[in-house]
Amino acid sequence: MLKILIIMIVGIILGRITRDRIHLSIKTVTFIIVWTLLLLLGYEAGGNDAVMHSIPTLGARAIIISSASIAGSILFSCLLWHSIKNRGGER
Amino acid sequence: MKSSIFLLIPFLIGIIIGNSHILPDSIKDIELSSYALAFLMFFVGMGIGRDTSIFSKFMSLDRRMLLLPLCTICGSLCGSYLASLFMIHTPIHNAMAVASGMGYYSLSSIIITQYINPEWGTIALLSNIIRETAALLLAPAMYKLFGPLPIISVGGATTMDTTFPIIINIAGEKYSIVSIYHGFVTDLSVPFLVSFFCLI
Repeated sequence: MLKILIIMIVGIILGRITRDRIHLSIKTVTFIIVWTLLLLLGYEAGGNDAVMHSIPTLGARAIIISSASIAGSILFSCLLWHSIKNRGGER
Repeated sequence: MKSSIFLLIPFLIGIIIGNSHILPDSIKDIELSSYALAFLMFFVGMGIGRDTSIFSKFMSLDRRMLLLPLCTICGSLCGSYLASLFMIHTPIHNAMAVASGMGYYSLSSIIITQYINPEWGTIALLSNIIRETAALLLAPAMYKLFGPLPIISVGGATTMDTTFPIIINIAGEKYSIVSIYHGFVTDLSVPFLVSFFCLI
């Protein structure tokens, strides 16, 4: 965690110094990294035999619990987002 | 929706490569993802440093967003509580312990294997991998349907690391601070919540 924050702060300082000289697209960089991370996540899940073999037996319960907790998180965060939007705190 | 489907491609390729075991296992020890993340954080830092108006953008964020981790935790627990009422062979506290992982699959599955049993540990592993994968794959569609906060909320404990890039790619760099804060608080709460629901 600390390492990641230090790397980010170094980036901020370098970005400040080089801001008129280097042009880069954060959108492109993040997109490439999202692809890399998804590839690695798939690789780890696919290569883990315990995960792959238990999908038919335990998969249904796992899907229901994760879907329900995702739905709950969406509901609560939507309520917060709407209360912020409606009271003019955000655009 | 189209971009969500587009994101399935690298994930499926990864599963196929992993499942076929064509690459040596030693690759897993290199922790490529942590290098990718370090690289990304550096570039996000560069982006923040270059943007002279980013600090006023941070300041324009509503203070109520500090409540987002609470929404994530309450939503996950309420959702799993309701789901467990309709499921067989599923004690309420076990389902809530699994949901408390909030995407942090390594830690939650280890704690649950120790305190409950290996079967529930595997369910925690699967369930939290599904949550992390859904946070990544569904982010573009969820942003269109619900706005920026739900994509952070669904990311759970991972919004400081693995789901961070997709969040700032879709919601914008302005939300990087909310995402890091949310990941930090939720991440810290995982060991306490999971152990609590295992022990009651």
